[in-house]
Amino acid sequence: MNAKNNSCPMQNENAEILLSYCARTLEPEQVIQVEKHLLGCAECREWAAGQQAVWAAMDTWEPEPISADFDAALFARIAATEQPSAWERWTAPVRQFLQGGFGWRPMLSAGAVALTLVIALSIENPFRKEPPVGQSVKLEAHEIEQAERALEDLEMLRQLEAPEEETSL
Amino acid sequence: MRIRLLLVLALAAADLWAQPPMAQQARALEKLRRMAPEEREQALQDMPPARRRMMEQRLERWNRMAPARKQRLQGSLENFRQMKPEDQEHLRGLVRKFNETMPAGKRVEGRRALTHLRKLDPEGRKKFLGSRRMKERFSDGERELLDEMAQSMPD
Ligand SMILES: [Zn+2]
Repeated sequence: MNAKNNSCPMQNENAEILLSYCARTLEPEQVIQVEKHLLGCAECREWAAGQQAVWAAMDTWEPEPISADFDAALFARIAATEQPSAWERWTAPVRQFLQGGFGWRPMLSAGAVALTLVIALSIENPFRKEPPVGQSVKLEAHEIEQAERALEDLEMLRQLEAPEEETSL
Repeated sequence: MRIRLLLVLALAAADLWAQPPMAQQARALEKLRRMAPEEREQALQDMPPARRRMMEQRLERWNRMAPARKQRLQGSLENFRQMKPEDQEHLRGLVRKFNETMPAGKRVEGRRALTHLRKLDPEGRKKFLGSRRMKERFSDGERELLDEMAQSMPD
């Protein structure tokens, strides 16, 4: 088969058939046609190979080993980008002190420290670590809704990404 | 030293107590993700079956995502949440329209075009959308939809 004939999808700027070929959505007859062309056309072969790598990676999506720190770091980052609450503004000097100490001035009254501690001690077991995957966790109804909303919008945003980004790290 | 430790703990408690909405969502998602399958099944048992299946599939996909991609999407979600509620709803509608009206064979290319469009200024978008290549592949309506989506998307 002539490598550079008129049916070359790349030459005709008609990559769609190659895309469909890689996505395995072509009819069997079309598949044969495309594969015949690929045999003789290096340009299309190279392009299709790139596409197929993307699809292959998607097909074999393996679960990533879950790093316990990853999600924790993510939440910390999310929390950091949120508007500071009144509470956060109020405790900012303490945070500064804890982060390095140099920026801290004795602004914090003994009362504030005491209150901080009272709150800390009155909240039921607030310091427990996240249990590992598979361990007992209780989920409230409103949390299910929150998770559902997050998943729904993450799915939408995922669909908006270019397919190449599905596998980019 | 002990005071410092106590303060750290106190502030950690305060963070749990005063979580902003976005963090609550992320936390709820993380809790769900960490549940044992039987527990999750029980927690979700009151949901309508179709909705529940959808949620389980999405969770599964989220679990399998590479950390870098998770992080990127989570960033997009943060930006999305900064948008006005009506703008969020508008974008959701556009994505629904994209999924319902864009022929399956064109969606991959559509997403690619979208990524490109978002990098362009209005002038560049106009040029790109009016190019022979784009006109050959996408109908007027499809190109308009892509344009509107690109303009409505968060950073
Ligand atoms: Zn070719």
